Amino acid sequence: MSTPPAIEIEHLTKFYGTREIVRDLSLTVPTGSIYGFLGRNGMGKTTTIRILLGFEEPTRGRARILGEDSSRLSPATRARIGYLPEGHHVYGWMTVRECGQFQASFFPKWNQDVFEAVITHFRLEPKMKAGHLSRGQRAGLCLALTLAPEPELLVLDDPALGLDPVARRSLLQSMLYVTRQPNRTILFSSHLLSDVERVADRIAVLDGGVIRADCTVETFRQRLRHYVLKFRETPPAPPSLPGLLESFRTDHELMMTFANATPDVEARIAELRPESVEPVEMTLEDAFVSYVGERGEKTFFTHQLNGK
Amino acid sequence: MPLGFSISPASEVPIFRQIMHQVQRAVASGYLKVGEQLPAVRSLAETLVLNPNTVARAYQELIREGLLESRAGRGVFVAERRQVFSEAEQARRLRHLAEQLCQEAALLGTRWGELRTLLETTWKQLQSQPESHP
Amino acid sequence: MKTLIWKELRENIVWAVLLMLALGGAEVFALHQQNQGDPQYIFGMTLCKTTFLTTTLFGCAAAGILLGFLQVLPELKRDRWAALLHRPVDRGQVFWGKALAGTVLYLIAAGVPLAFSIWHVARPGNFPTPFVPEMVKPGVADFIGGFGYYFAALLAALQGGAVLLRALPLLAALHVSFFAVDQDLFRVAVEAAVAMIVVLCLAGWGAIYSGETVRRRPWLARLAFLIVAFYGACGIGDLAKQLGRMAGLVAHPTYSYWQVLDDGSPARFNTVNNVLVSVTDMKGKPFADAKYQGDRARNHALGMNTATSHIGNSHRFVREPYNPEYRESRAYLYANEPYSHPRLEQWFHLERDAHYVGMLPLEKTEFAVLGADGFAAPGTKVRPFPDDVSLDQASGDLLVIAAPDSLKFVSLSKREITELPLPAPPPIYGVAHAWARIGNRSEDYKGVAFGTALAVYDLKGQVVALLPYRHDVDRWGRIWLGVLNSRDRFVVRYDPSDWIDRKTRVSMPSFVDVMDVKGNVLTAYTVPPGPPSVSSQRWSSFLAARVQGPAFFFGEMLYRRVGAALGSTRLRNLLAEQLGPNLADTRKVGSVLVSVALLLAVVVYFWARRAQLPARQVWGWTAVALGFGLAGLIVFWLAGARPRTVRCPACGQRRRIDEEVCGCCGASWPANPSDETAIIDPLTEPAALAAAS
Repeated sequence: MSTPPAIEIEHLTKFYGTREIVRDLSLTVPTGSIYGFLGRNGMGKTTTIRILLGFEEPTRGRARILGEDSSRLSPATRARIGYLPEGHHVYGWMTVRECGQFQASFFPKWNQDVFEAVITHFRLEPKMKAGHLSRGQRAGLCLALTLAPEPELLVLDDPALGLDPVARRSLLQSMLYVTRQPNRTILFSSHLLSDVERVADRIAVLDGGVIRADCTVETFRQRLRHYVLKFRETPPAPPSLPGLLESFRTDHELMMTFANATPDVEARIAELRPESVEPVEMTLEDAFVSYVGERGEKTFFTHQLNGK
Repeated sequence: MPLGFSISPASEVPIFRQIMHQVQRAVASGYLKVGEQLPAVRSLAETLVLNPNTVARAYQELIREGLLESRAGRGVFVAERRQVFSEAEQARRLRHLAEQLCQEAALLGTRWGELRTLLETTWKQLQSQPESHP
Repeated sequence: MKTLIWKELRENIVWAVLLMLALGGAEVFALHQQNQGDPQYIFGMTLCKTTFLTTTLFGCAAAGILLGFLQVLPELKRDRWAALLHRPVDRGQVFWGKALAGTVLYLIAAGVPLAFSIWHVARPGNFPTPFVPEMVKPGVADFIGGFGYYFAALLAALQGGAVLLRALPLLAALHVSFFAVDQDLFRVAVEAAVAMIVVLCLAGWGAIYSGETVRRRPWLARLAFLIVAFYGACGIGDLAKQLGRMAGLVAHPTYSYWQVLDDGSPARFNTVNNVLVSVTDMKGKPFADAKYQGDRARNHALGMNTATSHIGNSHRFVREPYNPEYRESRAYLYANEPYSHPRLEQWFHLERDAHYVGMLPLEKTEFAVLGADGFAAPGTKVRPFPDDVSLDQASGDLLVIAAPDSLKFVSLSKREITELPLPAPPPIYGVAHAWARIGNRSEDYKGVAFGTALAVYDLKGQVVALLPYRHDVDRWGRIWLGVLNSRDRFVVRYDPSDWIDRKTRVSMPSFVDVMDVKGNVLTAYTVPPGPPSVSSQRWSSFLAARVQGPAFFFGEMLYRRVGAALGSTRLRNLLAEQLGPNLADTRKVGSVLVSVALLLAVVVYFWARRAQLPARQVWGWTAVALGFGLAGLIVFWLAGARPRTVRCPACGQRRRIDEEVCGCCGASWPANPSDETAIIDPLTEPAALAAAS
């Protein structure tokens, strides 16, 4: 690639006490991409982002952001990174305009037009007290503060948390607006798979401190397969097949979800001699839930309900 | 937006395919005529609040299928119809849809006669719309 | 930077103003509160009053701690903190922004109340005490000390890690407070406080770069943090000592002194923890007379005072200037006795300006001043009394002014000065107050020390007795006078002169003569030399005072030795005491300190090895433990970066989690187990797609 990656994480490991929060995590976010950072709560997303921005130190490994070591970011590099932490903190006693002025005083570049455009987008008045804003308005203000310095790299930690659909849409529009300029990179964590599907080029799925998937949205959906097997009798217990994520048995059906199902796996499924095999397409959300949800077999038999 | 795109991310159908289907329908119904320009990737992406790469992907797939064509520096246009798929491929694609249609009809208890009439009417409607074969 | 300061001020100004009002109210209340336990209560020693100083000491510290915490703790929530720090400015600037704003806030919260209190006291008509500007010293020292607590709180809030580690800065500030309150000299107290402020400030500046690891901070901040940690450990020692003292665990100082009883015979008073446990005669036998037994003996001891500490000046003895504690009002001014009940006129001696000021307690205004040239109108600048003049004002209206060549009795109420004829050749060496007890009343006398005899005057200025010296007053020149209750017998006590060095002095006897008005000796006693008057400290308390370890013990000795060599009398005396009468204790303490430090050094050595620190750090910490003993161990325990270790999957030994390879077997960490569900897609160039269309 011509431009160096915006973010490079190499073998990052982080301990809190004796608890390993992030384990041997490597991730490269190329310049110009929109990266969705997914994972259930407590899986190390925020920790990774905080290490990336130099607010915590890695136990092992290293992280580079815009070519600079995360633990000693120079003010000049920081000026090129927009970071929106979780919680959307604002100084409640300032007005919206004062928030902008306060923020502007630190940044060498400050595009007041962007600031005003974003706050208008979120229907904010410059005279409003920041402390009286709703959750979505606060997010809008924070986003305006983050975007106005025209950062090359935008790191958003769960920006959609607690936002209503309208505010979320505005957020996505603002994110896309950023990438209008060439070589703007966005890394954002989210739980809203529909948002991720709309805007992300690629996703990284963090599970238990480990990267389990690092691919395009399309690849992720393609590689996850859901099969519904119909039986005349009670279906047999699912065999242990490579890539099996979860299975669900009812009186006459066996449903299995696979990651990376190979033709070999499909052959093994056929060996179960079901009446029919139906591959079902999954939404991204279903795919994600199967992927990071609990593994193993679940059953639902009516004869058990009847107290057999 | 004249093209009434509607995107639902919470669907089993990937977004780029949703775009493809809708362009295909617009072309098939004659809403988009041969030689007509499609909205630019960037502006369509912003209107639909989508990653531009997704829109670009849909366009590329359609270009590959021969429905659209890209003219360097000017944009994407509806292409003249030409044979891109082999007969076998055409048959495969249609068979899939026919299966679905028949299944649905069977479920609803539609008789073959009715179904045939319906197919004929739909076909005629599509044909009767002005086409721009030069 | 400007906007940062503005933000900090705007966020916390309300707290500063609230603190200012609370502290100001408390200080003014304390100034006006009449403390019955204070012997000088009626003339409440204003800015040196215990209640006022308690308020400033605790109030300034509390204000400092509160402001420091308020500036950091509410913002320390992860996201708020990240939002504050993610700016294109150096983090140090954020710290200085906070610190500068905090300085302004502290000035408002603690400075304004103090300034107001000073102004309030200085205004005539508010207090029946002359205003001496130097009396602001203890308040100012507390104010500066409180500023140290501000930086300690900043550091404690910014520092990550265990609670005790975060408490170290506060303990260090506490240690300096203990030190400052104990000092005689204001200068020393302020220097210590300022030094600690600088160190705490630097350590705090470093902590904003990395709360977790000290290693990531600028080296100056790291050094500062080590110093803070060390003094924090000393603060733990201080606290332990205080608790021990409260629980009565640490020391039982035994102290013996001798006094003359009201029959003229000397007696030894023995105390433990300041409680009188026995009274014996010089041979160690208890007295037969019941009134001299046990605690009752206190009521039958003769009131005696020294007229002079040496006679003759052939030894070129120069007295060290006496420095009373800067927190005591008597360092600045002294109320004439008797001050225990209100009078219409009250005179004060101002220590630095060496003159008297008369105040009207009811009007609370000055009415006259008295200097070397006599009385003058209030507010007049008068000539101070020269250094060689002794002033004795211990009997109400009468003030005795004894210059080397003249003796004047001054009636303060009549504003009359009478010069008296001298019954013996000058010079006069000093004056002592003595009294006889007649029922509830006392009859006062003044003893004036000449070169050859002690003249006893009554208050009318009549010489009632001229008592020639019966001992070698060159060597026994500290002369005391007492009057028996029969008023026809006088007791003269001779102690070794002050010009004799302490080491010799404690081996010399003292003499007590009972004389009649003609100067004949009726009874003569010789008091053998010995431990009396030397406080014998238990070595355990001596040790408790020195948790700092050998470095301080030997460092202090070296400091004293160098100081003595450079000519400091004070340090020479301290050294002489340490190596003279206390030599045995000194040796014991020294050897215990050294052996304890050795033991601790070994502990730290193996501890550091086990923690797999690099060799340089292992030896460094061992040296710290060796030099600073228990404090060194505490600092290592709390502040030493000891990375966590886990069992190595390759060799089973413990290995550091922050090292790539095992220190034991050299294996690197195992890779994540491969997972057939992993979905990894090689990177393509996504931007290229968009660009293409």
